[in-house]
Amino acid sequence: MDRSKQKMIMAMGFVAFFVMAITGFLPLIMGAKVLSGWWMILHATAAPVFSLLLAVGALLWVRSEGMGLKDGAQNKCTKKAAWAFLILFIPNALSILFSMNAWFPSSTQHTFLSVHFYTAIGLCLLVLLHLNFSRKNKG
Amino acid sequence: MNNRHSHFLFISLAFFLFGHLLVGQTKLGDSPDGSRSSAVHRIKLMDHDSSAIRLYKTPLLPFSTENTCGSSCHDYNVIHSGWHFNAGRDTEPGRNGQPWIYTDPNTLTQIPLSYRGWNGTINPEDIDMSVFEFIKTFGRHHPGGSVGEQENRWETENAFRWNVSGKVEVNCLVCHDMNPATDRSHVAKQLQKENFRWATASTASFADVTGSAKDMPDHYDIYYGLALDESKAIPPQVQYDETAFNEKDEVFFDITRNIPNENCYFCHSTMVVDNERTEFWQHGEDVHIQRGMNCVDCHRNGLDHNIIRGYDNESAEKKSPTLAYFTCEGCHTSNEIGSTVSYNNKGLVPTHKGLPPLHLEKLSCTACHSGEMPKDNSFLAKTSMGHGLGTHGINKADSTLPHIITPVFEKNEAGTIEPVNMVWPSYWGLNNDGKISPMANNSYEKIVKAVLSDLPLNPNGTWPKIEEEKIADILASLASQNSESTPVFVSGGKVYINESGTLKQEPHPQATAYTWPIAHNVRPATLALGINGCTDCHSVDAFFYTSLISVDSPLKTDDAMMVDFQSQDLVAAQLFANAFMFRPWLKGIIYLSVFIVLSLVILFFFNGLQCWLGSTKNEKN
Repeated sequence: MDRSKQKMIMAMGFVAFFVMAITGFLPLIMGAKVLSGWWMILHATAAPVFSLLLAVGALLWVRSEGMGLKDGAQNKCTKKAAWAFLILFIPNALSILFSMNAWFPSSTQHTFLSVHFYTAIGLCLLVLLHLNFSRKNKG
Repeated sequence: MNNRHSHFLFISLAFFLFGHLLVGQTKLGDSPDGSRSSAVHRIKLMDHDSSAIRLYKTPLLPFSTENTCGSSCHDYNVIHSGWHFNAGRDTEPGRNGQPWIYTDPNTLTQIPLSYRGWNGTINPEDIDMSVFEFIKTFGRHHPGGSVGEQENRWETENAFRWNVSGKVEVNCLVCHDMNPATDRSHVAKQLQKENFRWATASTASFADVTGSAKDMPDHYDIYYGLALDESKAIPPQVQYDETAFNEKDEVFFDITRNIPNENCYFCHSTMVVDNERTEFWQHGEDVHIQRGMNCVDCHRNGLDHNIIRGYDNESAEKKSPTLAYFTCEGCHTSNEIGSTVSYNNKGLVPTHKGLPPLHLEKLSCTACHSGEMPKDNSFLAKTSMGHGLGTHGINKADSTLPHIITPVFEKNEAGTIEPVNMVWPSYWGLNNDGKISPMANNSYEKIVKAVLSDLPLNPNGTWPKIEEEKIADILASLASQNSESTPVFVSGGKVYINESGTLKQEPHPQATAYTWPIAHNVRPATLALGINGCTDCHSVDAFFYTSLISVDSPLKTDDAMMVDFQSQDLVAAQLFANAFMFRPWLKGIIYLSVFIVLSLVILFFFNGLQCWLGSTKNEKN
């Protein structure tokens, strides 16, 4: 896969992430207690798109940049932020996947929702860090 | 100061202090000694003049609960401030409750009434319904007290009638009497006969009330009766069963503190009209009752009889943290034992497996667990208070007024969706700059009945079939006698106005339905909404959103949809419901993505480990 397609996937992944972040946090910032209605529909619609783009993007990124922090063209901080993002994505996604099954009581589901919320905040911070480091790298 | 003055002052002070002590003193029966056995109530009957009732006395008077129960044993003044008896007083109304519903199909009226000022109800005084008339109409399912003994509310034009009928005291027996021979339905009969003073006695197994205060002249005196030539009507009188009295003129009352459910049911029964459940045995009972609990296990009260209603905000409204333990949540969502309640007031803590927590934020417990399960169409419900269930001579037709619609899932002021009962007001009113005042019965009754005189007999007690032209005719007639205000007909959520012979209709906030939350019957988890999974509510045609709610009116109206009362968007709800078809795909894609990312993370970890082991080996070399 050429570099331009990889960039396009990464860019689409970022767009999907921003849709996720906006539909997830904006209603709460606006005063809603919980996510529901149209916001929930948009959030849930963007979720599989984002996760698929993330997985494909991560595969392509590792293929081009390598596994090690010292491999590839990107600086160490950028790569650290990217790996932290991938690690945090796992509890973020699993917490909401598990809550979609009738395996756990509401109290545990409440914990899952908290995990989803706080890991999402972490993901947002890491994206900001990643963008910051990438900008410095280019500079 | 001379001796006489000082004696007078001393005696006055002694009387004052003695009286003060008596007032503040706890009465004999109001201070439990801790015994769980029932106190035997073999007591003297006292009449309204605080005289003991003896069988040889004439005239024999009905016993008074205020003086029989309240003379030396129970503080009547404290008791009659309780929830069941304090409507009309300056008390907080709390959450909406079931109103008294005045209905008359012949004048097209159905009006939710209350002295409590619940938003959406109308004060009986506003339709010129006197307290006297209110008691005759609705006292049948009221435990007395309230406006029936609030003399400041009694109308002067009825002063003589009140004198003949007497006040309506708190009827202790209606709740506390265990005697199976106690006939509560007699109250309805006696109130119809205006025998207010005799109503409580009529329910007792050892008393028989005959005659009618209604037939007595205004000057009738209960002590002297009628002159021989005055009337052939039978004056109200009571006869006691001699065998019930012992040699000390005492009578045994089978009284209990732990009120049995059947006593509560006399006023609090609900029957849903469902063509698929025509037999009485097909209707279930509250799960708590089925498991052996009593109504009063949760709806407790102290001497003040301020019974716990059990809704969410009650604790905050009454500034009593203890009350929070007597809500669904208080009993079922915490394992903590409150220090101020008994240990047996803790229910099972539900796990709600698979229920996303937002449901607990957006829905009340009752949404899934109480009332009727929603179906394609709403039901009609019949209640004791609304339909006089349990009394004689009522219209038992399914469609008889009032039309109480159930269940309706409505968003409440706190933003929670809860099931409610609903009644659509229907009345004649006057529009004054957008504010509608209901008209007094006597100002429209003749006109309405005259215009509708050609309608066929209506044995079912439901709305007659009315064309809009008839409403226009009635409004035109009403306009001719009201020059200052515009007569309107409020019905089915709309206000109808006659404009030059054409009937126009428009929505109006005062025309909206009055609703009150459903608390019972509570259904167990196995019968709760959602037991069949998410699609109980999240499917395109789920009754939770699409059930048709009858917009009740004598005129033809379109049904509303359940979602209209939830401040929700049906399109969003149905789109979200459709998303459940794709949910396995959604989960599959995210699981696959997680698998890929997790594999990369594991590889990254092992790669790091390998690098670290390699660098350690190099350092050693």
